[in-house]
Amino acid sequence: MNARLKEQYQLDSLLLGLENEILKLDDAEILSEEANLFAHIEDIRALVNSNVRVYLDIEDSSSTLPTEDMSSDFEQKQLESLVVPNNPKERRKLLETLVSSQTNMPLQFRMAFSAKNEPTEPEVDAMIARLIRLGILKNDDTDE
Amino acid sequence: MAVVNRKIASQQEIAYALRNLTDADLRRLERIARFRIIGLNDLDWQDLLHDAVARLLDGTRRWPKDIPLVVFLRETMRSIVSEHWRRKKNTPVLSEAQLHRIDDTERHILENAPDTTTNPERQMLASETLAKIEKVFQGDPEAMRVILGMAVGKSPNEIQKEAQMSSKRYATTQRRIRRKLAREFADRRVTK
Repeated sequence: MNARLKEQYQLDSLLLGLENEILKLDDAEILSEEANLFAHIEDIRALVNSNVRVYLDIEDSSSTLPTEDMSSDFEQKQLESLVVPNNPKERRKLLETLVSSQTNMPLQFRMAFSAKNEPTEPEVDAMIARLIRLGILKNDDTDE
Repeated sequence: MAVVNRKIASQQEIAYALRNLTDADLRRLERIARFRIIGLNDLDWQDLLHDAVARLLDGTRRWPKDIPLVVFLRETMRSIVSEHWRRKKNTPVLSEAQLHRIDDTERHILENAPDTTTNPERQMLASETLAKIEKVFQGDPEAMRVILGMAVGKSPNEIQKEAQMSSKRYATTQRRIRRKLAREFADRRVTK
């Protein structure tokens, strides 16, 4: 193993070790460590819940759980009505539009359409499939 | 190895479990995400955590319910970083088999699987990051002993034994390491 590769593994091991220590800390201790260096808990909760809200809104419309931020409801309703076209070029265009206009698109999607990257057709289809599984998009059942 | 039938959480169960994460768990996830992006200059912790949650909810990653959600999200973030490198350069990535290899005696599903994604840029960044960490702790030999032990995969018990440290002293040193690293890497600006 060359020295550089060894260093890569060492860094990964070090990060794992640090993460394990974080996992082992009791609640009081982790919450007491210099909060000024980290994000507000409510901001982290909002980050996590931004995904959860999309899922719950779609899958469980009868849910009585409160949603803290209703501002994206209109945007979400618009997304729910989107249907995936059969034409590959149109699918790519739809995905590109979603990635550029929606703030809650996964990182992987944004990277796929970054300046240096142009996703292949199978990659576009995989991303579309993921959005369908999430319930954000619907398949077009009509023939071309 | 015995085959274990694991109960996989439904998407609904995942959604409710995420909603019910405690403040401490959310802080753990933030801290882990911040650690995992150390050495990377084009990924921020919010993106990493956001994407890990999305992958659980959309079924890309299947959560066995006997593994704590925070632990599973940690492993998901680790795999996302691996994938991130693959996308940057067309290099090998952790396989699905590696990602889901579960030892029934071990709760951590990826702990023993090496991150095989590699390319010269990544190796260089790892080298620079380790050098930076070494510089941060150059006046703290006790912290360096712990860091070097973790870097070669030693357990806390092994490190304490070799460094002749009490568990209390080890915990204090770990706390110091966390604090210094958090300060050192807190202000990193992301270049996209």
